[in-house]
Amino acid sequence: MNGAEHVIRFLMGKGVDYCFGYPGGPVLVLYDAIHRLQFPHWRTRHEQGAVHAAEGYARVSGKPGVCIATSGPGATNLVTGIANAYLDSTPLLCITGAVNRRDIGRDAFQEADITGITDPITKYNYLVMEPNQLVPILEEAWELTTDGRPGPVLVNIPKDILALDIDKATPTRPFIPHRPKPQLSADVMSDIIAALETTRRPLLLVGGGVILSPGAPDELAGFLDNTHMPVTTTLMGKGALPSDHPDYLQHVGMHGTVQSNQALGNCDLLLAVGTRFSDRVVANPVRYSRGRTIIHVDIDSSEIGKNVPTNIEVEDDAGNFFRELNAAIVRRPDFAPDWNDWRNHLAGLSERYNRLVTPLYEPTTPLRTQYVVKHASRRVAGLNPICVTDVGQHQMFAAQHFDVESPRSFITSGGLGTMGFGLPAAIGAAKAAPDRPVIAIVGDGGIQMTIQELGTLQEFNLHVIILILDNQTLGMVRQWQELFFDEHYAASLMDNNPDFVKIAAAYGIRGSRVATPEEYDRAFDEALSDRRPYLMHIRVPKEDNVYPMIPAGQDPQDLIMPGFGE
Amino acid sequence: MLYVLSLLVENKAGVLSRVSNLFARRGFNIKSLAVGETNLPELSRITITVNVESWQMVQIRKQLYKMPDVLMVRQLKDGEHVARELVFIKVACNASRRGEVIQIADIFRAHIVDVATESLTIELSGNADKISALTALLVPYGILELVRTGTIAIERGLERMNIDELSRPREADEDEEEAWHEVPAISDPLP
Repeated sequence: MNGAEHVIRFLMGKGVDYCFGYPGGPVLVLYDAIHRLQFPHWRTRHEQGAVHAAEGYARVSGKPGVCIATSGPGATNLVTGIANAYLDSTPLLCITGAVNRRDIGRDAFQEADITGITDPITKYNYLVMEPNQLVPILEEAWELTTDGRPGPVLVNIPKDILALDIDKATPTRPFIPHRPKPQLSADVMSDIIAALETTRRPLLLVGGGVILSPGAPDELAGFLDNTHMPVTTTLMGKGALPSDHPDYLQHVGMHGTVQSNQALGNCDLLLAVGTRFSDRVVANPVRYSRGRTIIHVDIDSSEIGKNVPTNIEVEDDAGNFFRELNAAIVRRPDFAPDWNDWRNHLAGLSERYNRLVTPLYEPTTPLRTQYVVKHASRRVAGLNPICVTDVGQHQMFAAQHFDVESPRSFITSGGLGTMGFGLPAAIGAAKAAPDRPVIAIVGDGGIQMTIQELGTLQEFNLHVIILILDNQTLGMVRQWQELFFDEHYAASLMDNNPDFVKIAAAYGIRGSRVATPEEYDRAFDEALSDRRPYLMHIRVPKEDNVYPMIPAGQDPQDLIMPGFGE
Repeated sequence: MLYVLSLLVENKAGVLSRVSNLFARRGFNIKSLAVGETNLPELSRITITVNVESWQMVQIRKQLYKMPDVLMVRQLKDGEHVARELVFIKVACNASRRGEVIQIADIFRAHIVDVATESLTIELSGNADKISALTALLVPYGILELVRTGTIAIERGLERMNIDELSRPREADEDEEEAWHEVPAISDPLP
C-alpha cells in the first residue's frame, strides 16, 4: 500500500465522507488513490474555493474540513483560506503535495516552502520526511484540528512518500493532548457568583467559542432561563442563541445594534465567554476595562489578558463553564439578583432602535438593502436556514437583519474579513446540510473574487440561493471614503459590473434580475420551487450606508445611529 | 523589565524557527537566545532573555505554552537562578603589550585560547556586567572581533525542569494576577 493510499484510508477511517481539492503534479498519486478507493472528492475551480468550501463544511457540520492541493502554487492558493480558518478557529486538515524529498530546497518546479509560509497561520504544520511517520503525523494532525481551540493544521507530503510502498505504518507514539485540561476551581466559581450577585448592570458577551463548544448553546439557554441576564453576541457568536430570544440584544461591535453597544459600554460587569475582544468589538481595551469587572472565559488561555485586562480569568471550554455555572446557581436557592432597572433601560433602547429600523423593512422601489435582507430572512423563516455571507456592507446588513434559528447557521468571515469567502463557503455549507436552504448573501465586489466557483455549484447541483446585492461599488470602502476621506471614491466604484444573470446562465445556473419587490418575490418563488442553485442579481442603492457604526477607535457607547437622538 | 525564560522543547527540525517566529509576529523583541541539546537527546533547552512589560511576559508564556513542540515554559526568578554568557574577544596585541592584556584577563579569571604575533584571543564566561567590564578595559588595545553567546541559565538548588511534571497544568506565577493595573472603583453611567 503506497503513501497515498494510506492517506485516503486514514481519512476514511476517520469517517471523512468528502473532501475538496484541486489536482496537480505531486498529488497525482494521491488522486489515483482517490480514484481507486472511490473516495468522495469535490474538485473546485481554484484552491481558494476548496479551502473556503472545506471551512463552510466544517462550520456547519462541526467536523473538521478537509482539503487537498498540489505543491507550490496549489499550496500557496490555500493561504488566504487557512488564515481565515485560523482567525475564526475552524478545524481544517489541509493536505498538500510537496516535491520529491531529494529536490526539497533546490527550487524545484512548483516548489514553495508551504510549511514555512503557513507557520504563523496554522495551529501546527508538518513536512513528512520519514515514510513511517506519515500515518502518525496524520493522526496527530487530525487530533490537533479539534484539540482545545480548533484551527487549521497542514500536512505537506513529498511526492515520493505518496508513491512509496509503506508496508506497515507503525505509530511511534500515541497522540497525547499536549496540554492537560484545567479544572475550574470552586474558589473561582464562588468569586463569579459573588460578582453576579453584586452587579447592577451585567452583560453576557457570547463569542464564536460558544458555537464551537459542543453543548454550549444548550447550557447557555439554561443559564439565560435561570438568570435572564442581558446577552449580546459578537459577529462570530451570532446563532449561539436564536435571533428572537427575549434576552438577546442582537450582535455587538462596530455595526452592532444601539442597545447591545450601549450595554457593552455601560455595563458594570461583563461576562465574556469564547470571545477574544477583537478591535471590532472593543477598540480601546485598556480604557474599556476601567470601572467594570471583566470575567473572561476562554478555552485558549492566551486569549485571556491578550487584549483586555481581566478581573476573573477562567480557562475553560464554554459548554463546561456554563454547565458548572448553572449547577452553582442551582445550588444557591437565594440567588436572585435584581437587574430590572438595567433590563428596562436596555428594553427601552431596543424599542427605540426597532422603531427606527422597522420602517426600513417596508417594500419600496428602488429596493432598500435592509428590506432585501429582511425579506430573504422572512421567505425562509421556519426552515432553519443557513446564511452565508461574503465581506463588506452586505455582510453587516446580513448580521443585523437576517434571523437565524440555530447555532452553526450564520457563516461569515469574521476575523480575516476575506472577500471571496461567500460563494465557496456556501457550497461547503450546502454539502454539510443538504436539507436546509442556504442563502448566500454576497456583494458585487466579493462574488467577483471567486465567481468561478459557480462551476462547482452547478456541477454538484446544490440548493444555494445566491443574492448578489449589487450597489455598483465596494460599499464598505465607499462608506468610509464618504465619511472620512472627503468623498474621494478612489478605486471603489464598480460601474462596469457584468450581467451576473448571464454569467450564471453561462454556467447553467438559473437566475433573475431583481429591481422591485414583486420581482424579488417571483425570484424567491422560483428559487424555492426546487432544490437547484439559483442566483439573484439585485440592484440596491449605492447610498445605503451601514448604521449603527462605531467610528474607529471610539468606545462602544459612542456609536453613531442617525435619527436615534431624542 | 528584563526576563529570563527557559523552555524545554522537542529536539527536532524547525522548532527554533517556530519559537523565534512567535516572538517576531507578536511584536516581542528577543534580547538573546541560546539553544542546545539536553542530557536527553530528544529534548532541547532554549534560554531566552526578553525586555518587556510584565503583562507581555504573561502573554509570551501563554503563547509559548500553546505550541505543540514546547513541553515546558518557565520564567526564572531573580536571585533563584544562575545565568552566564560566553564571549570570545580577539584583541590587537603584539609581544610588547601581551603581558598587560594577560594580566587584565587574569583579573577576570578569563582564559587565553589563542595567541598570535599580532593578536590574542580571550575566552570569558560570566554575566552581562562582567563581560561589559572586561570589554571596556580591552577597548584601548583595539578589539578586532567579539563573539558572544546568548545567556544560558539554570535554577539553583533542587529546582529543575523535569519532564515528569508534564502532566501538570500550566503554572500560573504569582505575578500573573497582578500584571494588570488596579481597576478603579466602578462608576455608574446609568442615565
